[in-house]
Amino acid sequence: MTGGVPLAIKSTHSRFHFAIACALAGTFACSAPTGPGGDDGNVLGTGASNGSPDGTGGVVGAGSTQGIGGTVGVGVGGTGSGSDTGAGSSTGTGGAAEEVLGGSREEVEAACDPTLALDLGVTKLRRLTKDQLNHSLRDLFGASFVDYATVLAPDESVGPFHSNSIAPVTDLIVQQLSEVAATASADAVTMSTNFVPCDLAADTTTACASQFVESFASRAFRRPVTAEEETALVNLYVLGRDGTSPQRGLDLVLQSILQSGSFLYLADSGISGTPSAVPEAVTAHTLASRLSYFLWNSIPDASLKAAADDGSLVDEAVYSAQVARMLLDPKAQESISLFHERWLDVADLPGKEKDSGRYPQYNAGLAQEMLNDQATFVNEIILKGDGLLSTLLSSPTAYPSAVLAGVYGVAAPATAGAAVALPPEQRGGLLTQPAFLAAHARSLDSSPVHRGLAVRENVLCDTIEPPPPGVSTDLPEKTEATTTREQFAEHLASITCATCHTKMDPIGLAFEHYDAIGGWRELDGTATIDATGEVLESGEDVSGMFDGVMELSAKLAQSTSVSDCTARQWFRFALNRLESESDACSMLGLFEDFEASGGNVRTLITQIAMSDAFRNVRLTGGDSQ
Amino acid sequence: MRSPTNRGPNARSGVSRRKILKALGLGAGMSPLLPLLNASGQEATRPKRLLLLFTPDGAPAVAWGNSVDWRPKGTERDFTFHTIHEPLTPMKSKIFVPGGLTMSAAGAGEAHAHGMAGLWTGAKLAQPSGDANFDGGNGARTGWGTGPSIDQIVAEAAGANTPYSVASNAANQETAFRTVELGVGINEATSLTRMIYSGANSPLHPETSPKGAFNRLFAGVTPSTMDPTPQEDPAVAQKRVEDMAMVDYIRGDLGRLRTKVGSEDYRKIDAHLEGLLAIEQRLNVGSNTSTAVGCSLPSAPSSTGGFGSNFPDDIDSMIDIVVSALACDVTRVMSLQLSYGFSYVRHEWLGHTLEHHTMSHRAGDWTKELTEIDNWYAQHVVNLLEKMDAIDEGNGTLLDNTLIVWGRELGTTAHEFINAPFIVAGGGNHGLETGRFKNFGGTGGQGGGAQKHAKLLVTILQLMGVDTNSIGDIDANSGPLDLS
Repeated sequence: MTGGVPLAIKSTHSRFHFAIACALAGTFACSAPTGPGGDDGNVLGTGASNGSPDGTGGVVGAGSTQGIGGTVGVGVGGTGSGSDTGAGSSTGTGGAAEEVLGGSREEVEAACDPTLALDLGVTKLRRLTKDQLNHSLRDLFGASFVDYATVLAPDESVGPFHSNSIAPVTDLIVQQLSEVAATASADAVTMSTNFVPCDLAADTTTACASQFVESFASRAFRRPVTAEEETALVNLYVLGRDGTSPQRGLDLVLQSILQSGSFLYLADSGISGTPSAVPEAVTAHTLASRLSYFLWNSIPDASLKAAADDGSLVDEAVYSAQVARMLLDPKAQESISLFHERWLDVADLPGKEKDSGRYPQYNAGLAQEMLNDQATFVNEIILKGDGLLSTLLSSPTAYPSAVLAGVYGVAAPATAGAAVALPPEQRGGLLTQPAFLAAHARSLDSSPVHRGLAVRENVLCDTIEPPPPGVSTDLPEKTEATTTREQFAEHLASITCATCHTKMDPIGLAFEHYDAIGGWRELDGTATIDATGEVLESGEDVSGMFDGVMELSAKLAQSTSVSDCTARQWFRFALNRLESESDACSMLGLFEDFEASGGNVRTLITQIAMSDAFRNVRLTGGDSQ
Repeated sequence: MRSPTNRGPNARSGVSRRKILKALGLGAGMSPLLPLLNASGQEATRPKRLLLLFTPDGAPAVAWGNSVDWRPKGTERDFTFHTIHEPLTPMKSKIFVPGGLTMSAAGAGEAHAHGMAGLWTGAKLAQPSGDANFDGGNGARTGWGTGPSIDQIVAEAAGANTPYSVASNAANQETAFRTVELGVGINEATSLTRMIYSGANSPLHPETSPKGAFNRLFAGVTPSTMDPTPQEDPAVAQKRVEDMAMVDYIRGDLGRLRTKVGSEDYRKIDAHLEGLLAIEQRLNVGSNTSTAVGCSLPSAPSSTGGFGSNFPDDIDSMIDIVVSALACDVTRVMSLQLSYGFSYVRHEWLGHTLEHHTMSHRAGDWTKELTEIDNWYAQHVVNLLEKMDAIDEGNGTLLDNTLIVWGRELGTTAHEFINAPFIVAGGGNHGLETGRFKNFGGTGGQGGGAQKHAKLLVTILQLMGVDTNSIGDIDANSGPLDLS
């Protein structure tokens, strides 16, 4: 990036400012006041949980489950309380909100009562993310990819993943969406033969317009078009055709469809047709839409649409065959690489700056090549290889460009992006890739805090309590004579800091062999690197000492906590929402199935698609406004 | 971009625009050919305007309690700027310096975060909630700000002494945009990157693409150097009919969708409908051709901002856009935000190898570099002032008819809120005496006995014609500064 601006302001970014102050945790994160509209204590499910075991009956069970989750303010008032990651508040503070399902396997088991009917967290209306919008436009027009959504305001996040399910649009976003529609439509009009099944200009009646509207709008809306909609859209066509030109008529229809709520929002429907407070099966069209956005991040194709239109998709065998077919389609690679970019929080790497004196080879192009390396790596393993999480965490293979091969310290492949074997004593798996290492580092130096935090929160699904405001955040200056390990030692020397930093720094310090762009180094300044580390205050199967990232990765690969966290993250990605306590039984089923498969991610993806949670929906918490 | 109705503490209570939305029904009653008010051409005096400017971080500090005292030297009406403001000197006669104020900023997160939230609102930054949970610096989580910013309050007002005479929900607006928020070098929406709020929990996102801003703001604007079209082109009129019909269709679609979603999701659809109404209002205004005497357009920028964009070039483009948008009466209330709280801009063009914020906390004395950054921003500010002062509006210049307030999220780079470096410029026709420095810092040294910046915000509101003595909840009912 030349003369550029570091624009990434992801929440983790500002942790780059030596985050050390962390106080006696436990009270701070729990102290969020109840927001407006937070007087509705219906936090634990609905009528589906009638006859709750503690005998309190009805719908409220707040506080009856120990140690699980903070609350998520998804309520009607727009604010709730708690933390979005289920930080350890065990006393729900209310809010028209659902408890996030938190905690260990045992806690999830405790929250699931298998004798009750299926319960689910609420699915909300989601505005298409930028990725989804771009892919949908590409597939609607049968065109090549164009980044139309680049003009839109940033997407929101749910967990590590993008999902615009929380905040309403602003006037600016509505205006931007109209501009996206106008730009995309202007392009589309020039290639209308791709998607208009007849000759509009030659037709003086409305027959062709009707035919086009029916075929195009039903694909854009992911459902059949009603007669009322068809009439209105054909009338728009006629208005433009008679007033200006047939091209303008087509443009009007396209712009209208692309600005419709029916296109821009993923609005799931249950078979009853009415928003229901209890889980019910989704319609065939909602199922098709969910599946295509999960696996492809785009609209259903003709085959999937046909199975939804004739209703056969709800048949187990037909649905299962569609899942298998779609995973083989190249479009599945985009979803799988997107998952990993967001899971490991590396997507913003191309916007991050590195010290140009120390890393002259680093620029946005190299950062993108790091992401490409990771994308190829995960797709090769999940779609073509053994599919195992343990392989993702251990394989010493890269797919680098020539410059990136230099970062890895290996000879460049004959073709950029071809497989290269890496020195196994230096590299193995996702956590030793430059994408992860550079994304979680400072501009000049490594960052044990950020690397440790990413392992802790993204891979182990733990939550680290935030430091309180108003504390000094300066670390001692690092010099050539001091190591990063010495610089960060202050964290562990202070009882105030150590409470939280013992969870992060001892993990992050195991990454000290990798500099701020992921290059291998033997020395930190003039000192030999000590890459020993320890996982503290975590599950038994992952705790303990280790030396270097390969040992850490091996530890993580055999851990139930990591296995469960991976399943949890895929669930969030698939359903565009955080798991709530109502999802406890669904989560438990996924945990067990994933474990039984030997940690096979390809199988996990199928299991999620086939799960009850994916094929049923609860659309409202039951309260009304 | 356009301000919704000032919603107060509870977003759901903001109904006035929604009422009008319902009143309009399917838009059947809206004729695109209603007689349209061309405020610029018809008003005897030029409208009042307001512009809020932001640049990041505080005045240079070596450490807590050891910062530069940037206040001008000399007397109230004969003073010399401190080095950090030295580039402003040529425009001194049109500048008012309120020195020594302590910021009314408080709430969740680090000082950078609640400084951003409080800067124009005087209201606390909320604790995190599920709907809003951001890193407010070093992992300290925050929600959104809790009150409307002064520009939005000014834009919502309607009357003889305020920028707008018609209500914000009226179908026929005086300008295409009630307010415009622009920014440079800002990406993700967090409490550190937002300073403009229409109400509690309702941040407004700045447009960060110079190209996008140019195209949106100046569509349909005819510079005054060209002959205004006496009658609207029939093709343009036809396009408006078609666009209106399209808006009607989309409104109908959203209405149908609303019946299918859970009640928790109604507010999303309603917000979308409000955005559509704003588009419709702009279509109505669209037939205005500006006859503003000083209306000219800059050359169209090609930059879309964002990753890899050039920060200095984008700032220059946005400043040109601000000047033209005000001169052409596209809007009367604007903000321009350069970077954000916790600025990670690395000023390579000044020879710096470290980011602004990184240097602000690095061990050692970085006053020289931090001063260079302040000077660099001040140079852009003076460029803006000079361009505005070069546009003669008959009763003075565009600058005389625009009140400009330049603020930052901290008083000093050491996270102190004392002696906040505010600069006020222009506004001569609003009744502000310029060419003046006044100290509000008390006599107890830096920060001792200082007055709070809520008073400055109230002063701005009053100068803009809003009848109030209070802003926000941190120093509510502060009253204005004593400008005697």
